[in-house]
Amino acid sequence: MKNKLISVVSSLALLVLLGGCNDSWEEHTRLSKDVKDVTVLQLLEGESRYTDFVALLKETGLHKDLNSELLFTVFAPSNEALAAHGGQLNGEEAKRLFVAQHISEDRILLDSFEGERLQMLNRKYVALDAEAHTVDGKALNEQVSVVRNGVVYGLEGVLTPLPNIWNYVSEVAESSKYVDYLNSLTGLYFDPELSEQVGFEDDQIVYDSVFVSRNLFNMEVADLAEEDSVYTLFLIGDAAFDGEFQKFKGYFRAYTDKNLEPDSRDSALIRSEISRNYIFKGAFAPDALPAELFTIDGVRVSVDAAQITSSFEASNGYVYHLESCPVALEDKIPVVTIEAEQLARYFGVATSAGNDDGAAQGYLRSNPMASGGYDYVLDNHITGRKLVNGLILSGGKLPSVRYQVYWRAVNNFRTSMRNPNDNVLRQRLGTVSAIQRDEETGEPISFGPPNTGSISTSFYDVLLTEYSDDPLADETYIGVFNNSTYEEVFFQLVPEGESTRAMAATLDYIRLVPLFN
Amino acid sequence: MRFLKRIFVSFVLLSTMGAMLSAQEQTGEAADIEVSGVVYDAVSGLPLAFADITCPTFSSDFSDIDGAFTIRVRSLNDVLLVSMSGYHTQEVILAGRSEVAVYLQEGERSSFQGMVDFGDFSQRAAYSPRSVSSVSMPFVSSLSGKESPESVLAGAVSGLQAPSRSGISGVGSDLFIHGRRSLNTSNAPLVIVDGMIYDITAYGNSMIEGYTVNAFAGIDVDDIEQVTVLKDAAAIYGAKGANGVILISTARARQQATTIDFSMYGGLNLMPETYPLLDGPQYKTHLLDMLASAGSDYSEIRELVRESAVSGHPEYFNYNNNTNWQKEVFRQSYTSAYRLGIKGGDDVALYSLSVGFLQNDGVVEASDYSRFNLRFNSDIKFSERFTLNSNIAFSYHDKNIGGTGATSVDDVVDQARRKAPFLYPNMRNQEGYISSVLSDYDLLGVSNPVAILDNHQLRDMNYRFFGSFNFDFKLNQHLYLSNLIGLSFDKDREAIFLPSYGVRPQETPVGIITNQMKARVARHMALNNDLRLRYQRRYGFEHGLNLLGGVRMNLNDNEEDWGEDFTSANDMIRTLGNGLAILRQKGGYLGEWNSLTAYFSGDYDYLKRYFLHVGMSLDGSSRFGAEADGVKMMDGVFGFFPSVSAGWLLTSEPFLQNFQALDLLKLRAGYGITGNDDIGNYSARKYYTTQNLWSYQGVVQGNLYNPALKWETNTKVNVGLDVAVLRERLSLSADLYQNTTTDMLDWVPASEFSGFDDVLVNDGEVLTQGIDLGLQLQVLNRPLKWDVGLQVSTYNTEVKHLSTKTKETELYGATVLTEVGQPLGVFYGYRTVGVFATQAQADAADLSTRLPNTSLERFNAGDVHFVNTNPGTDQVIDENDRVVIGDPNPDFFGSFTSRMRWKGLTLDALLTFSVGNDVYNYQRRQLESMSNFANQTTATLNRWKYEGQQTDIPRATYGDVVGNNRFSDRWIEDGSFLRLKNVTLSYRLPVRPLGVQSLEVFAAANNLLTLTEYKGLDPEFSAGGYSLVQGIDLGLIPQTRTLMLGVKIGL
Repeated sequence: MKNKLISVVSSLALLVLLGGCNDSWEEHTRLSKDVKDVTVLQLLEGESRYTDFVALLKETGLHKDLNSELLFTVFAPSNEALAAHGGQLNGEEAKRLFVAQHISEDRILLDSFEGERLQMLNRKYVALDAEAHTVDGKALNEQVSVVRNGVVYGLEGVLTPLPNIWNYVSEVAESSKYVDYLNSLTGLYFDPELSEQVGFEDDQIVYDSVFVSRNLFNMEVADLAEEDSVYTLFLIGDAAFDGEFQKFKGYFRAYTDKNLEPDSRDSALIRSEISRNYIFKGAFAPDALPAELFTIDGVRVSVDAAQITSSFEASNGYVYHLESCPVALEDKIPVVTIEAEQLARYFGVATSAGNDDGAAQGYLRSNPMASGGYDYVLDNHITGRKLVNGLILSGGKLPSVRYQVYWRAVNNFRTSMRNPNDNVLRQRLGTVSAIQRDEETGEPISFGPPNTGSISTSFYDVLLTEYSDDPLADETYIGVFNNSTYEEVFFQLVPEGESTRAMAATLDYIRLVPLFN
Repeated sequence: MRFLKRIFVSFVLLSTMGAMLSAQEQTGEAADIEVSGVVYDAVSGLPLAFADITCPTFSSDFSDIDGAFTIRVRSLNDVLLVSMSGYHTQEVILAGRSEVAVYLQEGERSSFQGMVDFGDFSQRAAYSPRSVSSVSMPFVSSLSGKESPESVLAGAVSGLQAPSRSGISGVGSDLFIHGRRSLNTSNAPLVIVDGMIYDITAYGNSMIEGYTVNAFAGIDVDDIEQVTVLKDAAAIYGAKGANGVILISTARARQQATTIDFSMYGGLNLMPETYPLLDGPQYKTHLLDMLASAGSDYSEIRELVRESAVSGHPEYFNYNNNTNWQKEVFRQSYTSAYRLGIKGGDDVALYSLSVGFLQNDGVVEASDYSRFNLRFNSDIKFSERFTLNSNIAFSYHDKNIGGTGATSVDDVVDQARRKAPFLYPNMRNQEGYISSVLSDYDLLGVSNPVAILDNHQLRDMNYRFFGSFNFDFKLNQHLYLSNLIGLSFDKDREAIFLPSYGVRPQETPVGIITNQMKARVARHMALNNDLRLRYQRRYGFEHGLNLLGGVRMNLNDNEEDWGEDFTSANDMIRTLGNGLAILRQKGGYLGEWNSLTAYFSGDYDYLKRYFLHVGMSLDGSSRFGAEADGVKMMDGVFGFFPSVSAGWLLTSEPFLQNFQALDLLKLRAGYGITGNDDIGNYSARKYYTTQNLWSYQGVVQGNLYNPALKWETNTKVNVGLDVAVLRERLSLSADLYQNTTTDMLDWVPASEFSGFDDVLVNDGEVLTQGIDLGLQLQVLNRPLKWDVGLQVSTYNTEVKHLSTKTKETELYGATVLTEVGQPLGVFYGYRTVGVFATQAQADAADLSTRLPNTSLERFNAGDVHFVNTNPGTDQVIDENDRVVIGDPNPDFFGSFTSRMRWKGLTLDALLTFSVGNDVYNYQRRQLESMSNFANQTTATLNRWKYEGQQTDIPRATYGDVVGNNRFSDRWIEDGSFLRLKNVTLSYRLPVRPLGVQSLEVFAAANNLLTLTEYKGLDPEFSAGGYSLVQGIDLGLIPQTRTLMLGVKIGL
């Protein structure tokens, strides 16, 4: 009987032990034979045709990444392809650049790949044609392995990293006035991100400063060293560069009188303007170069293919050398239209009650006949006093040139929206200068009195009561504005009105037509 | 239904005729007749000396040294009562015999000679014509570690399901007798404790998601003496009896000698099983895949994850760990319980006092459960005619719940399953040093469960007073007048604080929720009065009569108040009233319901061969509508509920006396009508609620009332068979039943002019049919005694009528279908046939899905191949392609008990099982959908990644545009299981040191072993008592495996 008891107890104990394993989960979570549970590196190491590539990976240290839990897509060149490529890999950096050209982040599956370009680990892009199974024109073979941390595609050939436009300008291109100018913009700049904050004094962060080498053109115009955007850059010959300098030197003056020879500061400004004339967004291959291009600033540039002496394909675009590529004055210094609706805020006058410009009433009026679809009315008076010094509109940075000034304004509300009377609406236009700017944004906070002699000192009647089909016919000629310095210009539209006469100001736009010398 | 009725009517007629015939046979027999016999031990077969043999009210004798006796009887159809200490008292029906061999059954085993407690009276199990199960405690030895009595009932009663709600300490089980039968009302049985209704429903809704307040926890398992489960139509309980009735009687003193029992145990709750989730490196790869498909919105996170993988990055040590978050929130813990019971008294008063204390630290960190319970039962004999029985019970529990596993940004268990394993609970600096400061919620929007555990509170405190006085007047020898008056008072308080630190803020249209403060109080008070008149008489040996009539009054008052406040200034301010006023919410309800029931029950037997039970009641409730269909009196509506059962004990017939091996053979049948009054306190009355519109307070009509609303009517028909053979070594009980619910409550669309969407009406019909089987077998009887028991049940339900014909209910992402002709609660979704391995396969299938913007999107390689069930109509997988994909009702379920005894050693085991029930694995769907950044199970390593890959896991796409993870048979699993619910080895020491009367030590284990193919943490769960939530596994924490050691001392 004892034996029976023991056998029953032991069989129960056995059941308990068996219960420890949960078969259904084990079966459910067991890795299927179709899942390659290896890393990209392990897969490459396991295939004899990739031994050279694996060796390169190990030399550059990239093998560690490919053995990690991060996802990678590798276009693996075979030993034969690498051998055919030859030994052009001089230096560690070049090797790394080359190897990284074959590796991309994430698991790229051709079936679900959308787009044309793929960024590789060296930040350069390759052209991936998912339908044709090619990368930068090199065919992908049938050997595709989806593994734990990525995908490995067999590649027929190798991917060669190209230098970018900036590499070309700074390292390859021959010296010329233009090239030298661009390189001259390289200098050491303070980098707040890399700098360590060590204290705080007088409301300012104190840094243990780090300065890095940067190029001002790349920082402010177009970053030719960045792989994420593509550009086309024209480099013009010295004679043409000088010619352009002479052409524009009267119009981009900030420091010296435009009738005198520019000093070094103005010369830099003028060169900067010239250089901006030859950088275009987009990569235009030699066979797809249009006859007309528009710069980043929107200036039209005619391209004469006959002037092209050479071209260079970079990883982020193209560089062309041209003997000459003149930009017309009219294209560089166009007619300017300043829409009234761009007004962002009022600027008030100091009163005993404080700066109460908010009490002024401005009406942004929708009107399909108005330029831009809107015009503006400023109802500036309350009983006994005016509220703000009229409308102040930025005309943007205007070249140092004389402009004929027109406005288009329509009065269909008598003299004031709030206090209409039968007086004639009158207003005048002048310029003002910013006397205080916000420290952080640089936006003007307050303005000085009207600049003496600017545009017009007399008030004009606004007699037009409705817009016609021809805007030019509606315009009123105000006078000539001689802009002496190349800087941002503020226009001020002032309603006529004294303390007893409520009067508004109104405007659709101001038009500035340059008068070339 | 008709078939059963016919059987029943024939049976009643047949037995009546039989009774009349045999009555004629016996007239004129002489009274001076002697019967001789021998009394044996049923197991050993040895004669028993000094057994007490009586022929009631006539003669008596003792058996001699050889067990032999001779006694005078009134007739050869008389009955002898044979009793002896340690054995079941046995009634021997002579049935024409003048010589009898009486085999007495050991008292420790269950027997048909055992008494079934019907509350006001008891009846020998062999004589009951009703479908009833009676269980004397303890069912299987100690059953230690059961914090709540209902969870152990399922092991002993066939047809009773008691799935545990979850693994939270003391959270208890839902109870279902004979499956489910109602769509919108409770399926929970009526519970009567010591003659008074024990409310198990009026607890309001817990504010802790995934948690349910357990009413049963107030009863200590060890205080229970007997449980009787009435499965047939218990008509005397009127409109409360549709779901069956459970009668619980608690321990009383039976003798004057003082006994003191002390028991205690200590145990270890093992760490629960966890889901096999991706580890740190695996998850990081998975996350990068998901981030890539999530698009450029997440490129910053993607960059951060990639860059931080490089040693030297400032976040390197924060983002390159391998944390098993599930292990951070689960733990091993300890449990212990102590109970002291004292019984005794004198010839005037008997008392039974028990005091218990239990402490169970749950398996989730920061959880614990403590309970104190006290019970004082007394029986005072004021005079020979006047006695008082009092039952006073008080229990208090205090629970801190760490987490429940419910899907929520503040639930630690849920967040632990989602959280990225490469993160760390604490902050780490650039050098890798671990700070004592815990991390906040993470970059992927998942809370830090460890930070929540550090600072949260989910507390539920509950106390219940449950007491009654029963006055009993003996008017004469046969007539008793009794009145029971009792009060039940229950209060449940919840206090909740969820911190802002570590928890992902939740955006609402009016503001952002950072921390949360909540409180709730639910109060229930019930006053019961039950006045009864009982007449019990035996006319000679032929006719037995037991009549009971009474009036029961039940007055209930229920109130719940809750408030929630959000976003206090910081986590130190954690009381209501300090949050943002715009987010503050408060609410509650008042509920009152009363019922008045007049009832009658009559039992008649002739010669203990033919048994008839008649029950009826007139039940009125404040819930019934004034225009309801019923008996109108006393300004109210009363329902009339009759029932009748008849039994034929064939082994009392003379013609069966030659079959020595047959101990008992009984046929029984019953028919009756009961009701379900869980129709809402005010659904039949018009009421108004306040409304706030743009800060203006007003009063609007609160419901579309239905004055004709009445109870759900439940018609029960059952036939049964009880057999015992070979001196009761083998006994069997079988029941065939049918429940028809008519007037079933249903929400039907209301008139569009009413301003309400739908209205509650008595309309639908549901049919439940089933079989219960109970088997007891003594496999070995000496010296090793091995008793096994098997309870097996099966049932099926069918919706017979529904005014809307078909109804879909959305629950936890599943669609549950209610349709005429279908079982209750079936899952309605898409069928799948794997995953397209290649684009060619997808193209061949040529299937699309309709996007929310109504455009069509093709299923491609890597997508799930859904079955297009209407290929002739379209090639679009849409709602028209849904079919019934699962039935949560089991094919059969039950339990297996085993008890082995050898000298002082006892080994008990209780196994429960369920076969063929389908489960919607909600939690696995969360962990394998691969549509967001949550951690997933390792099965997703097999996800489709390349053309030609054979797998059953689709590709991972953020947002799951084509709906690969829609509710389909991918998430329906077979929930069959076999569980060793309890195993106990106890040893009664042969020594009695220090004057103790008995000393027993035991080792026990709960939920030690579960055999199942189900891929969840626990195949046994209950998402609630309503029919439509059955089979939905929310992935709450699994039941704990507990190992215990204990001692019982008798003084």
